[in-house]
Amino acid sequence: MAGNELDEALMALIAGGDQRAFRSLMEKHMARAIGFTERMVGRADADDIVQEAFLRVWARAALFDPGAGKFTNWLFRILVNLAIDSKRRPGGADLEEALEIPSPEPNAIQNLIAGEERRSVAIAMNRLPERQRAAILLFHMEGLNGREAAQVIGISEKAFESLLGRARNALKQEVEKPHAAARSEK
Amino acid sequence: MTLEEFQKLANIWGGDSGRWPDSTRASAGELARTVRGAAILREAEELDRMLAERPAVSEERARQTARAVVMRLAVQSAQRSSANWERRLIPWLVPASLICSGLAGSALAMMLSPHRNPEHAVLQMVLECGSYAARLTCQ
Repeated sequence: MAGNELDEALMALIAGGDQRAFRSLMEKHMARAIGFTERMVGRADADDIVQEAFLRVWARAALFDPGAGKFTNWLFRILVNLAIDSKRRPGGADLEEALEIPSPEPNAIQNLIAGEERRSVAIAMNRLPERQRAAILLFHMEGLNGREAAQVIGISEKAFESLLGRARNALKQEVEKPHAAARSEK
Repeated sequence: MTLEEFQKLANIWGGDSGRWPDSTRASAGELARTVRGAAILREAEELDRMLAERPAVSEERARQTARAVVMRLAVQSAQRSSANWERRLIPWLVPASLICSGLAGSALAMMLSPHRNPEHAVLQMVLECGSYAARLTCQ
């Protein structure tokens, strides 16, 4: 059974009160949900938001309509809404920490540069308004297409294009800042 | 599509022209094969790569979060069943308390009534008759 079909089958069981199906669904999507939410709000609040989101999945399973989109998109919509409703500004250090991903590259200098880049991106992400951050994460990290990401955020495709463009532009400028400063010093 | 338009789309959607809106893909594909177009996409891909990085989430953390959800569900369910029980009880509280008050009032009235004992009632009657008879004799 394909991923989406399995999710739909599990959701049908969950709507009937099947706790085992619910545990399977959580096992399947938990890590991805935590990763996404951690990038949205920071590590400190991510787990609580994800817990709340899955409680809503349980409580509202009967409302899930497979015809309207994939389960993961429905889950992202819940996560984005909860993240936006939670504290509006996550701690900067926390989001930076969220981006501390161990790199497989053996070269220490390259690691350092890559680490600096990640930090710049993290700081820039932290400065973005929540909806712009959600647009970046849904499109780039989660791989949703423009239409799906627009549906998750609850805006038109055109509005999503504008949101994504502004977010990428802000991030690009932030990431290029250190390079521009280095160029001007020379 | 001009090169400027191509650059603008790359700035919005990133370096993978296959993920750009359907209406732009065909003409973007042609420009992507040019040297300048390929350079624009490569530059955009740099940012894409950084934005696509996913934080590492340990299996243990995912398991703990799932366990916490199950625990919260159990607590909610217990609270709900207790609330249901209370909800079922509440409609009976007013009539039941009225009936109890009524019964208590009747019992109290019986206890305090001077005619609660039939012997007392007979005695009262005899005394009342006696006083009536005495009054007649005197007259």
